[in-house]
Amino acid sequence: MGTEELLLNAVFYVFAIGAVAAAIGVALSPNIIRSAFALLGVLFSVAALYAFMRADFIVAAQIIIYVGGILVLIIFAVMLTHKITDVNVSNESAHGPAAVFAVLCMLVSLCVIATWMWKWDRSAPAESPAPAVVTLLGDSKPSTASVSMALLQGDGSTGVVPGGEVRSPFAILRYTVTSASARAQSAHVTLECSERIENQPKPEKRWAPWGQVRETTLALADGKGSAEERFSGLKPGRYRWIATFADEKGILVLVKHVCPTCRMEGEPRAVCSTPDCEHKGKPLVTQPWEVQGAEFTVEAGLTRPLGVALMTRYLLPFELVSVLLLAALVGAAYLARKEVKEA
Amino acid sequence: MSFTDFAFTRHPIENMLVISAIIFCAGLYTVMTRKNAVSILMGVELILNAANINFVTFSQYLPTHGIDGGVFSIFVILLAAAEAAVALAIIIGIYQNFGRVDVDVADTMKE
Repeated sequence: MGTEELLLNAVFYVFAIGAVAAAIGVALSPNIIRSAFALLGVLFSVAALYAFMRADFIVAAQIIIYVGGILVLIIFAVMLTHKITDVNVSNESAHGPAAVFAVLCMLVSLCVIATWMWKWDRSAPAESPAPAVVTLLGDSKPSTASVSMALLQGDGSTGVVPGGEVRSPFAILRYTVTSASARAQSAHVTLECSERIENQPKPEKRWAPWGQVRETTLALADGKGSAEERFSGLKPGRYRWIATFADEKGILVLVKHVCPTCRMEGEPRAVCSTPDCEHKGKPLVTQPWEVQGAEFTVEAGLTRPLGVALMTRYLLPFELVSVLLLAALVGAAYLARKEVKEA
Repeated sequence: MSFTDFAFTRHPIENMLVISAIIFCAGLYTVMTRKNAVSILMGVELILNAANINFVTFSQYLPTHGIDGGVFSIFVILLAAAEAAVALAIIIGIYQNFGRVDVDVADTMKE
């Protein structure tokens, strides 16, 4: 474990212990004002934990909404409704059973975690994750495939973020850098592809089923730095993806389905539907998909994917939440207003 | 078993889940033992934060469903804001009527 990693762990444990200690402080402090300030500590420490997970937008939301909004409201309520000198407010009789119940809950959750432990990230990276969005720009028809990939781990494994639609037979689920020499300009990369069409009667052998592994080579567009350092964490920037796909003999091909005459593209097993094409009604032909030179950009951070998700897939829940917030605002103002006594 | 087996950088998910479990239990204990309504609200905030840590953890480290977990954590934060506003308005109302904010004074609907 290097110095950097040790330092990262140390800082993490400072915040982790801070969060836990402050949470226990909230639970046990007899003074409600101290509880409120301990809650401040919890909220800030949790924001730091989000930062460790590189969820930047959630850090900002946590600090602005929780610390800036909710906590200030709570402290206001404490100050408005409470005499500072009057501190003993807890319910003494319930402490024993409640403590037993909380400890039991704790044990159950720890057991669940222990059962699943080591199963989630056996090949855990030496770094914390670097969520980055990889968008395939593409100069030719890969532009139809705007693939968004979130960098999952520091070792280059990725997952696909929904929002990028792939109009291709493949979705690249994740890729792993299997070998990259220190000075090389390219890395040997394992691609885990999936087929978008399921239950195909006779799957063509050139297509990988779910989870099948393909290998390719990624090279850097600008030729700067070694592949090892660049692909272990893909810094924001523009990259060129020089993909050599191989079939069963060693040449992998990313295929697309086109009509041989009118070049119409479509789903696998589709038929040509161009009105005046002589191949109309006949199945499309599988062709290698030219992806050499496709470029992709890497953006760090969660802000953009979150914004895209909130404006597309989660638009209705998002609007409902905004209506709910408005209703809560009006309701709170109505509840808290003082009755005007008539003379 | 060495320190590396428990290091955050090697096993981030387990570390985060343990923290979130502890915070959840602290919130549970707060909710169960306090009489003061504002304290109970603080316990609820702790519980919501614990749930949020889990959402973000799984979203960031196992993104098989993309950033759904991140979106949900944003929703949870917003709902917590709405909940806190309404709950504090109710607490102010209780205070105006009973002069205290202990939850056991507001039982007039029983009678």
